[in-house]
Amino acid sequence: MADDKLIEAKAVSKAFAGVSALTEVDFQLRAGEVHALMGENGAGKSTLSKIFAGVLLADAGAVYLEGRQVRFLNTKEAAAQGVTIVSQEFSLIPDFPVAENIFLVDEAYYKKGFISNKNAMVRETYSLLKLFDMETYIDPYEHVRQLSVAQMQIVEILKAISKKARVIILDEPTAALSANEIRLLFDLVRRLKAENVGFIIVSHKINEIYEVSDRITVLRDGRLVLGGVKTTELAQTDLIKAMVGREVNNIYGVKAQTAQKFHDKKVIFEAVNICDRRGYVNNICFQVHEGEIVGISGLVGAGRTELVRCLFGADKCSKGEVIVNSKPIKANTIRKSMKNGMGFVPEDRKFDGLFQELSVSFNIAITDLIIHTFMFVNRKSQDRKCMQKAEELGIRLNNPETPVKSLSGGNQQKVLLAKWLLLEPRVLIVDEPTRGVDVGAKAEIYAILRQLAARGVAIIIVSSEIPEILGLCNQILVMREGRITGRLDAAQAQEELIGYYATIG
Amino acid sequence: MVTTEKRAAPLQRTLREYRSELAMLGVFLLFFLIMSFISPYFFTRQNLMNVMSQVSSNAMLAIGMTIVIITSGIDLSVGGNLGLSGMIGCMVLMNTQNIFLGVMAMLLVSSVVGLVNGFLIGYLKMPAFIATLGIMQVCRSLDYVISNANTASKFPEAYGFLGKGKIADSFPIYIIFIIFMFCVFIWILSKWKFGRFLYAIGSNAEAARLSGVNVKLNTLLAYVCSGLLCGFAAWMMTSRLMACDPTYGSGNEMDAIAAAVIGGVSMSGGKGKLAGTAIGVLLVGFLRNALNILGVNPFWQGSVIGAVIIVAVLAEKLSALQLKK
Repeated sequence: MADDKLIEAKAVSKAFAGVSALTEVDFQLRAGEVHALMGENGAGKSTLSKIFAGVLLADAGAVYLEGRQVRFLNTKEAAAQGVTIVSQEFSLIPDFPVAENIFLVDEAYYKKGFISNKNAMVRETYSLLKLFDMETYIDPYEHVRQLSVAQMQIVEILKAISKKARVIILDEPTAALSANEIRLLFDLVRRLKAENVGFIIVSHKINEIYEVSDRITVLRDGRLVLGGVKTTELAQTDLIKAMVGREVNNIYGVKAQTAQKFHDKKVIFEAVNICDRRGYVNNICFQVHEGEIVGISGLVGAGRTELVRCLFGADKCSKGEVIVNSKPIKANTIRKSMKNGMGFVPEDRKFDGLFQELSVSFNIAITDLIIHTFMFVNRKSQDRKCMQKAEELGIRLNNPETPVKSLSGGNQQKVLLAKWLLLEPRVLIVDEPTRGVDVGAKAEIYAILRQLAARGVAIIIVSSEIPEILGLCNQILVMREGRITGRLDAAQAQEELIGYYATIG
Repeated sequence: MVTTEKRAAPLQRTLREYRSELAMLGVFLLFFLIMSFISPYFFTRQNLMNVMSQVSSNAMLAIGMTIVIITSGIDLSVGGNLGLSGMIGCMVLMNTQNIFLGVMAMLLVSSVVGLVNGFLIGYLKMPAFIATLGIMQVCRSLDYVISNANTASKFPEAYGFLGKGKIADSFPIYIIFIIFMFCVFIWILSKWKFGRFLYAIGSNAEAARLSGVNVKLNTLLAYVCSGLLCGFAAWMMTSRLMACDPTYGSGNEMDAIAAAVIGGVSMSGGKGKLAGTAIGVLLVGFLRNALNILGVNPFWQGSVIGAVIIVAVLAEKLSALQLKK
C-alpha cells in the first residue's frame, strides 16, 4: 500500500517568528482520493497546504512525493512535479483570455520558445473543456475578468490539469460559489479523482466535506487531532468537536422563531419598489419589524448583494425608496442612511470592509468619526470606546494599534460589526456574515446578531449558507434574477423549499 | 472570554509606531556626524544655513506630496505649480508693489491649480499620475506664456522678510516658517478628522466610502492642500531671491517625491508620516551638500540620491518582511 501514497508529510513543523504554526504533523494523500483538511482559522491548514505547494518551507520534518523526499523551494518547482494549489487569490491574469491563462508558461505553446501560438492554446483549451463537458460553460476566448468566481476556479483547475498535476490543493474552493456551481466543481473533482488525481480540500463547510471527501484530517493549534479518518466513519458532531476542541451542540443555537411573533411590533425598516440602475434588482418590497431578523437567500448572481447595497445607498436606486422608522429616505446616500440609523457590513471584508494596514481602533472608530466628530479627533477617547466595543464582542487584542490585517477572519468580521455597533444602529444589514470564518467564531457572531435583535435592532442578513439562514432568520426572502420569488416564515422554511424558490419557483 | 492583556507602555508604543522614522533619523544623524568629522566646513553656521535655504521650498512641496501620496495619489504638478503661481504672484507684486496682493495672488493661483487636480482625480476619477502630468505641462507652459520668458523682479524691499528676514539678526524666519508648517500639517494628519480620512482613503477607498467618508471631497481637498503648499514654496523662493524666473520649480516634483519616499511614506497609500518626510527633506539636502563639499563631480549626484531612495525603500520592505516572519 505504501506505493500508492501520493504525497506525504512526516513530522512537519513550521514556526513564524518563534510562534509555532505546525508541530510534527503527519499527513498522507492517496492517489484518487479527496482528503479534507479541516480545522479552525489558525489551526495550520493553510500552512500545511502551502508547504505542500512550495509557498513555504518546512522548518523540520519531510515531505515525500510518491515515496521520494522533496523540498519545493517555490510553487514553480512544485507545479513541475505535479503539485498545484488553487487558492482564493487567483493566479489568473484578468485581461487575458482563458486559453492564454491556461498555457501562459507552457513552453510547448510558444513557437521558437517566445512567439505565442494562440490558436494551439485555444484548440487545446477547447479539447480540455470538452473532456469535462464544459465547452458550453466556458469560452476559451473569454477574458478572465468576465468570468464568475466558479468559472475562474475551474480555469485554475484546468490549468493545473494541463500541467499534468497529480496533487491539487483546493483552498476554500466553494466560499464564493452558488449551489449549482458547487455541484459543477465537485463533478469535475470526481472525474479527475477517477483518473487518479489526488485532492486536498481545505474548507469550513462541513456539509460539503461530507459530500465530496473520502477521508478527513483535522488540525487544531498546529497539531494533528484526527489523522485521515474515513469520512463515512466520522459523525458530524465528532468532527466539530475535534475542530473546536469542545462540544458545540448547535452552532446556530435554537431554531429561529416564527416571524408572526413580530407582526404586532413596530415596522423599523421598509423597502418599497426598489430597483437598481443596472437591472439586477427588480421591484423589491419587504418589511422588517423591531427585533426581527430577515434573511435573503438565493444563488450567487440573484441580485442579493446588489439589493442590500441599494438599500444602504452604496449604489444608487433607479426607483423606489427606503423607509426607516416611518421616515422615508429619498435619494438615498450612505451618509443619509447612517444618520437614519442604518449600518452595513459588506460581503468582501478585504476589499470593501477593512483598512488592512491601519489599526483596529481606527477601523472601528471611522463611523463614529463621521457622525460624531466635527473636526478634531480625540485619540484617547477613541481608543477607549473602541476597546470597550471590541471587548463586548469578544475581539481578543492587547493593543488597539494592532493592524487589523493581523487578526483572524472571525475577529476581522467582528471589527466590522463593532464599527457599526458604535453608532447604535436601528437597522443592520450584514452581507455574508460568516464567510471565511471558523466554526467557533461563527457561533459567536450568531450570538452577537441574536443579542442585537433582542435589543430591538432590525437585522437583514444575506447568506449563501442555507443552514445559517434557517437557524438565524425569522423571515426568509428567496431571490432569483432580481426578484423575490419566495417569502418563507421560519416555521415553514426548509432547505428544499429555499432551493426550489431559488432555482425554479 | 476576553483577554485584554496589559497594554504596552506608552513609550514602547511610540517607539514601535515611529520605528521607520527613528531608523531614518539614526541614519541621518550618523551621516551628519561622519560628515562633520570629514569636513571642517560641513558643520558651520554658514553651511547649515545654506543647505536650509536650499531645501526650504522642497520642504513645502514634500509636505503636499506626502499628503497626496497618503491618499495613494501623486502630484507631479508641484514644480509647475510653484513656477506658475510664483510667476503670477510676482507679476502682480511687480505691477502693484503691494505685497499683500502679490502673496494672495500666489496662494490663490496655487490653490486653484490644486483644485483642478483634485477635481480631475476625486470627481472625474482620473488616475492621479496622468491628471497631474497634464496639469504640470499646462502650468509650465502658462508660466512662459504669462512671463514671456522674462524674469520678474523689482519687488518692494519688505517682500524679502520671509526669505531673508532674521529674528534678532541671527535666526532666519523661513526656518521657523518651515517648522511651523510641518507642525500644522502633522497636527492635521494625526488629529483632524480630515487627516484620518486621508489615511482611510489611501488604505481602502471603497471601505472608506462604505463607512460614509466623502471620498471625492476629501481627495479634492488633499490636492488643494498640496497646491496651496506650492504657493507657499513659491513665496519662500521668490522672497529669498527677490526675483522670479519662469524656470523656477522645474524638476522639483522629483525631489519632493524622493523626500517622501525616503521618509517612509508608502506609494500604495495609507501609510507614512510627515516626521519621516522632514527627515527625508534634510537627508536629500545635506547629501547634495556633502557631495559638493567632498568635491564629487556633480554628475554623480543623481546616482547617489537614486541609490539612497532605493536602499531606503528596500530596507523598509526587508524589515516589514522580517516582522511578518
